[in-house]
Amino acid sequence: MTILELDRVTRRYRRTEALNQVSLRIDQPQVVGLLGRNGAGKSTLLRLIPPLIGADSGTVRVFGNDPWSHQEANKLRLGYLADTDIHPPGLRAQDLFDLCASVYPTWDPALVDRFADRFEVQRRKPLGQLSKGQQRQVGLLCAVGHRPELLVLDEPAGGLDPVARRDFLSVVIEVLADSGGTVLFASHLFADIERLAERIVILDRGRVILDDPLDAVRSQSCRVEVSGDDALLARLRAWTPCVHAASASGRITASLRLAPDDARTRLASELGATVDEAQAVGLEDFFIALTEAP
Amino acid sequence: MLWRLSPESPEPLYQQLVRQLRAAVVSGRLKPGERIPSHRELAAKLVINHLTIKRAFDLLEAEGLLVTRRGLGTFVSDPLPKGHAAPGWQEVESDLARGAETARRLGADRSAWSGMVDRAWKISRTEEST
Repeated sequence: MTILELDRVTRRYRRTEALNQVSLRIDQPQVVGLLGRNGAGKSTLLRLIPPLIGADSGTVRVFGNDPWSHQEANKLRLGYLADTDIHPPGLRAQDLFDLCASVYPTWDPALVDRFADRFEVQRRKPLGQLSKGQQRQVGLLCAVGHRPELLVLDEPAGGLDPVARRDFLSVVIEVLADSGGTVLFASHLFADIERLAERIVILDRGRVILDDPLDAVRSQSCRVEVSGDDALLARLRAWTPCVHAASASGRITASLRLAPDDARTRLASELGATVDEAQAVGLEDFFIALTEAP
Repeated sequence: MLWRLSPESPEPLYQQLVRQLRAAVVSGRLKPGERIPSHRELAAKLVINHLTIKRAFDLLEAEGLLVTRRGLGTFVSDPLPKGHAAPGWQEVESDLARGAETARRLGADRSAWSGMVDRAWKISRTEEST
């Protein structure tokens, strides 16, 4: 069964194309990390799912259904945490939990109590009086308390201190280890992506520019330094595995979608270039190379 | 045991886990027959996806260092398979592998690395004689 399917989805805000022919399929339970710079279209993509917005063209399917006509049925299988808190600040955490319990037949009060106690969430105080970390934690518990098949988190740990962030992550990880399911989350925090994600999707200016298992992204990326002139630089930039290349004082630095050893042999055989240095790079460096201007 | 996981490193998390678990077993910090936490427990403790931990465990089971007994948990093999019998050597190997990785990351080539190993050997002899 398909959990989520976007097929050539385009969505505009006035003249800006927030999403441009985006296709994405999640066919089996997994954790997908959605990366992209500010304004790349991450939140727009996630808002199509509950749905909070619609597509201008293309199709969206959630659990194989149209998200608008099956909104009520899908809601019971879905957890969504927006990038900004949407709960009324006058409400108390306990009121929210009670409300969720009345809405979701699968609501698990023991799970919610366990985490609320562990993180010392003050349930009797209005949400507006809780720390930002606690407010996020309450929002998350509302999104996971019914053990959804698909959990959608938009920049879940943005603005949280390291302890609150770790607490937040541990809820997701423990629920996942318990009941499986799919998580689709947008984040700028590479360490969190590394801890959680099995698959990486990178959005850039409304387009999917990379969609691969995390391990493949890691093992198939490197940075090289080669000596060469502008002609080599131009050929490098036109070369399929090349993500980014720039030159400074006769030396060219390039980020490639290749393992370091493959980069040496293929640069030599296909471009006749000699590699001075090749090294593996972390996800964050690779992301920067991929999304910065050429 | 204490873990040192760095999500930012180019080395995948499951490989970091495999390396550290293997080093703990071969150095004797984890004893043959000792029970180790389940991948769920470790996921909660280390705050990483349990599938990553399961993957590391599966690799070490295939190597024969760990065994899972249904309903009881995962244990360090007792006795350890042949080839893991000389614990000291294995630890040296895994230390070297880690050093080689760092050197490679810092841009060293093979001859620079051999040079480093030779120098370290000489230094250890000097220290021994003083």
